[in-house]
Amino acid sequence: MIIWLLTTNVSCTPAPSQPIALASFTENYVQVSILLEREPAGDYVLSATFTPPDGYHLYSKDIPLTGVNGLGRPTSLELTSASRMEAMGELVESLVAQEPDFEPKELLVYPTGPVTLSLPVRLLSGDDWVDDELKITYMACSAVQCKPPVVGKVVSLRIPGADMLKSK
Amino acid sequence: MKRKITLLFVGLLVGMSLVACNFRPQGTANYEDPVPTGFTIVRLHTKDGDLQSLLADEAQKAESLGRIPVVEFDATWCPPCQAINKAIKENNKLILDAYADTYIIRLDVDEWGWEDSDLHDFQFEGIPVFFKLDSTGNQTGDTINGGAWGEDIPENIAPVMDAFFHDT
Repeated sequence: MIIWLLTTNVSCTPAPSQPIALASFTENYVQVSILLEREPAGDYVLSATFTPPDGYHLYSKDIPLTGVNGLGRPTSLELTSASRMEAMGELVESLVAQEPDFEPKELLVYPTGPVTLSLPVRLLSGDDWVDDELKITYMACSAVQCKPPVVGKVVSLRIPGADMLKSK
Repeated sequence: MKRKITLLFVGLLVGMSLVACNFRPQGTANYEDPVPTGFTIVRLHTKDGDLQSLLADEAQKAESLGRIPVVEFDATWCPPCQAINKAIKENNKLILDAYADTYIIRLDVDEWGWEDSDLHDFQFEGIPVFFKLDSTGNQTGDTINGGAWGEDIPENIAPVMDAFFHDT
């Protein structure tokens, strides 16, 4: 049993190089998984992977929150004013958004399937888990149908203190 | 002088007749502008009352006009929904012909809700979606959604909608 525990990755706290799953939910047919990763340089990256239903796409992080001419909603991962993490850079997308086949052409869409948004963050110092929150927005459509948008959903989660991960 | 008065009177009568012909009944439905000829589009609002009663009223109006009552769920943020709307507003002949003799009752999902709301058993997973009603305002069981056609262009939409509306 002891040998098994030593040879497997079972641990009370995750290894620092492994992504830490912070939250996961499915709402309006889109699955969202939120992770925290520590990069080799020691920086932290918060990421959210949005997985729409088969054949559906999400909209660019760069379209307005109210859409283009009211159409569509951006895919977004934001810290709230109450968040205890601090953004250290721009939100980065895993896929390049493209012009749609229909008007308005400014309504940029990601290719069909999942997309991940990543945000470099600074964690609170300390070696405890703390309560935190962030905000998620998205909307999934196919060429012919849409699911309802999720706008500004506040997601509660617990994040590790920076010292906690450094010490691992 | 008499002749002038007679002409004025006749003109007044003609004017009143024209106003009467264009009279839009005051009720719970908002008649969308521009009102197309050959079919009717109304939009219902939650403030106007219980959906079942509203649908019964609208179905009766449809029957009195000899038109087919159909509920459409849509939203301002939904590109496929707005593609249909645009084709109607642009008087696309294919779409106008397909919609002939229909009485479209629009319900915005932002107002009426989606799942788990008071929608009287309207079940759907995406918009736009259409449900045929009988003359009492109940669903006939015939439904169609955007998945029934390919790209949102009138050439694709019109024949499918025509067949759905007119059972051809």
